[in-house]
Amino acid sequence: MTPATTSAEQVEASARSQNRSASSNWRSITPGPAQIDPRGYARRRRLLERGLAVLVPVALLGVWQVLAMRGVLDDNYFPAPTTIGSAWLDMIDRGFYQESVVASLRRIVTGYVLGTVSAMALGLLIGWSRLLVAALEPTIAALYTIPKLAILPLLLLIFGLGESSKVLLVALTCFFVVLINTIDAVASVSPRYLDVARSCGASTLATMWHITLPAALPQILTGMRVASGLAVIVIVGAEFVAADAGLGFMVWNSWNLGVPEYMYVGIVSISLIGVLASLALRGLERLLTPWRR
Amino acid sequence: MQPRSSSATATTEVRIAFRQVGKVFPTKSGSVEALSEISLDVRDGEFLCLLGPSGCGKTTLLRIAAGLERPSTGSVDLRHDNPNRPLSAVVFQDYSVFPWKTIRDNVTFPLLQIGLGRAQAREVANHWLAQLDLTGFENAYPDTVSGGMKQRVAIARALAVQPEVLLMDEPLAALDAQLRLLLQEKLLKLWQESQNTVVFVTHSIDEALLLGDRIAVMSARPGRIDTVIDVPFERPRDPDEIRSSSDFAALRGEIWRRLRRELQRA
Repeated sequence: MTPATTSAEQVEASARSQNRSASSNWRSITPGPAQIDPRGYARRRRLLERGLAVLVPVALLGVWQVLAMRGVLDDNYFPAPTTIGSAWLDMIDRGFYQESVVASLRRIVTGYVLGTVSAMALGLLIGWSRLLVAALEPTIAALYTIPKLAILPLLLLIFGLGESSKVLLVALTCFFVVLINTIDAVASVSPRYLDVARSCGASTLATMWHITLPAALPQILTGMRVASGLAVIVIVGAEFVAADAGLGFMVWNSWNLGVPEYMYVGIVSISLIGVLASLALRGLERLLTPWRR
Repeated sequence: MQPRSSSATATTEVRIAFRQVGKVFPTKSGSVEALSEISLDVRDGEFLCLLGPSGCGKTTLLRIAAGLERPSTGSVDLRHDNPNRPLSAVVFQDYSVFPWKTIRDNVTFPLLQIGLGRAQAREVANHWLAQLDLTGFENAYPDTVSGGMKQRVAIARALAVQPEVLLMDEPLAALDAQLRLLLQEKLLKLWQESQNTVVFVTHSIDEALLLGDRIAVMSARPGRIDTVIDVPFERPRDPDEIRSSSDFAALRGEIWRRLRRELQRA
């Protein structure tokens, strides 16, 4: 196989260099735009990527708007984005929106912190000891697979309709995800690093703090990010059936009232909380694991 | 710096005594005998190289001396003179530098473990980083520097605590040939300044001849001490001079013949 070049290029190539015979094909590898102006190229590329990231959702909303205005979409199910927007402003005006967001956020954050912190502490302890891993791992795996929403009725039975049942539900959901990730991360810390610690005469506590925790941190943080998404999912489910405030309640209630705009406000807000939580955890990750670029 | 010829002036006092050391690893299909009947004295202040084909158990022997593993039979005794200095420090082969710590923090870590204060540990670390030409990279993370630099960090980390015995497990094996020569010279220079007892595991004959006072040549599995060779070169050694000397070539040939026999047997 000879490299594919057009005959025009061939002529040009042979004109450029005398020792290239016209009869053979030459494959010319030269600097491209990315090499000639690397900074400019990278900047244009970045601009394009960021532009697309904004433009695509905006375009989708635009299409939605047009279709809704022309009556192609039934506004009983798919109200126009502008209708949703004004409903949003209306709810903010009445203070109902803020109240719902705060109610949901409080449950999410409290439950999340409770669940993740206790799971990390326990996970470090369990992962550290092979005996504890052997003793507890099957039980933890079994408990992990129970859909946490399925035990909401039990929690309601025990703790009543108050906040604690919902906070606990979030906490339990986050707990098992982070626990499993922490145990796995700690148990799979490279023995080379532990050898170094031992040969330095490091105490158990120093080894945990200087070696095990930082080595396990990336995976623990991944677990924390997964947990944040689950926390949002599970709280919405709980608020559907067992709350009189919160974004889940807002969505459910707007179905009862037959106001689809409100439903969309709730759905979009929930998704925004999920995205923001994920971004915040990415930031935390960058802060806590600076060695990973 | 007193020049010293290896066998004549070296104190005959024993620093590490390996007595009938054996090591058996259980595997799924029976067990593997890694070491058998190893008896060897490492003298005070000497640079002893453990040389052998891969899989001969030299790393296992070093790990036992470091207290990271226990022998299946026999015993290893290490003499600890100064309680203010750690008995031993280990330079591992590769991937032993903590990626989550900066280069300086990698070196301060063992210093903090032996009870130095933060400020003092930092000072000592800076000194050893300078010794290994790492000044200017103190705050870099290991994964942003080259493999040769990482290994220098590992060496600085072990030297910084000034151990009575330095145990090195093929510290240069992962480096390319040129870099390896440079670091051998660096090690030679640093050791000639401190003259700690060193046990140095290697599979390179040249490296063993250049660095060692004595070379314990090991046989293939199960690992035994095949022979111990005195290296006759005067110290301080000049690497280029040694490499071009006829003694070097002769010893190298002799050791190679032994190793080849082992390799063919294995």
